[in-house]
Amino acid sequence: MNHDIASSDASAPSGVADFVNVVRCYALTEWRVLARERTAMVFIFILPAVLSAILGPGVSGLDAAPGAMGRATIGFAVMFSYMVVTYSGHAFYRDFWYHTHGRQALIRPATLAFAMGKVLPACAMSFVQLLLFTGFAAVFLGLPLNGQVLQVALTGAALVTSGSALGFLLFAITRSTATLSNLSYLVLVTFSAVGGAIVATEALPAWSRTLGYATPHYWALRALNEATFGQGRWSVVLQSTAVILTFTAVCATAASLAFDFRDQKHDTT
Amino acid sequence: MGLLGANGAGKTTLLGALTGTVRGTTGGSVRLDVRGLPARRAIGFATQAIALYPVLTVEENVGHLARLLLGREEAKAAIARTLEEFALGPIARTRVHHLSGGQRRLVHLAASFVHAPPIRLLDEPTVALDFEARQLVVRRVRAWREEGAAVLVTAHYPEDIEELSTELVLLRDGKTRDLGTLGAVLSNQARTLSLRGARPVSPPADASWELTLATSSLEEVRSKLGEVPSDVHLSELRLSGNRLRDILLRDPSLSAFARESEGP
Repeated sequence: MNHDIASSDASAPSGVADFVNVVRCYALTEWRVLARERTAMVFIFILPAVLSAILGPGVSGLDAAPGAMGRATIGFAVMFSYMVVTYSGHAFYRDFWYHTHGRQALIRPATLAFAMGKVLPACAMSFVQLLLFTGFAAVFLGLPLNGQVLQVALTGAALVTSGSALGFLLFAITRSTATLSNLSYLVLVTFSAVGGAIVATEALPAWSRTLGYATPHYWALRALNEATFGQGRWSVVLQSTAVILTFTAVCATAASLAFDFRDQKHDTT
Repeated sequence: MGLLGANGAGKTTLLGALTGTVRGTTGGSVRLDVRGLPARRAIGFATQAIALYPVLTVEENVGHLARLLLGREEAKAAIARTLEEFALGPIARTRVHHLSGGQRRLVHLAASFVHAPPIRLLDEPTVALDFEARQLVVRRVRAWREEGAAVLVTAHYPEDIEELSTELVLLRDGKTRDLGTLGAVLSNQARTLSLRGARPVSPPADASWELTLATSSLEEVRSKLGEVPSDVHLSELRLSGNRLRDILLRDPSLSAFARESEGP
């Protein structure tokens, strides 16, 4: 069915201003919801902290290495930063839980601005978690920082952005919250396992290491290792973030192509 | 304009097609001419389901849409005006999940039209409202009409349509039928006299009007009043030896029209 609205956009805000306004509106609302529902705080901040304390360097296989506890902490931080996949997907599904999807379909903001606003708060929380955990590990757990903080920040930003893009893609191709949640937990565990976030890559079987190259986790940990234990070379960090950003671009493009404001989804939680 | 139709007639689907929020399955096109305004500001749609974020306050819910549709500059005044129009000031800082169903419905309507669009679509706007809140909605819709907005309303109850609309469209079997103004519909309706007798009622032999059987017992009958006044009916019935107990004179109403239109 064609839906044609003959209108004049003469009084509408300019393109950039409108784009920024849409991002800000959705981001503010999402931030308020996430902050008040609190479960995101638990999964992104508290759970990795608890697991780091309980399991520590035992899972990393680096008991004897200096800063092993710090390395394990970063592994759990990277693993749980990917809860951003779940919370980004939920940000889109939220409109179906609360019946607000009809309004989005009527208003039809620019897809990129809408998506950015939706995922920005979860993205920011995961990014802050990565920085906090790395800082804590450096100050209290003997994690060396041979590179620069900026390298850690760049890697963290690339990683959480890739998770948000994947969350958007999973939303676009699924029909229910339950399906999205199951897929995102599957991603969380498998990507972390083969990417070296739980057990150090060197301790993994060869076939797992091969699979790991396809995950953003492997490249994020490669860059983080370079910034911490390594020599802090920018070439390694930039190469790793470029791979992660390519993964992000593929997910975001696929999501944009699959996304339609008129899609009907279900809440089956 | 009021949209009448039985459950499942397609009222909500029609509104979805008008707003472009559902995909059509059999082709066709909708064209809305709202020149002079950005498209997103031209239409407001209060869906049947309440569309609000429960953990946000009333003001935050209304504000989200105001800022999105109007920008920060215009939003402040629009939020204040809307909260006042819907008498939401006292609960502005209350989170929506603490509100009653009726209060949520009012907030939903307020948020849907915070940008004062010239085209306003309301799907079952009076569901779950108490009397006072319902009257508030009726007043608001009438005020919007007087301000020049085009308002399309669907409702479960014809009484609501009667209060909220001036023109009617009937939707049945997927087709619309323009019924004209409410006055025209009602003027085509006859007043009806319903009565119950102590014994089976028998009409006068030379009556110029017709009694309609209402039940098989013949003790309850109904008569459509044309030009003949109701007291003439009653006196002729009594003169024929009928002993009448319950007498009910019904004026023309949309409810009666809807019952007849929907058929068996």
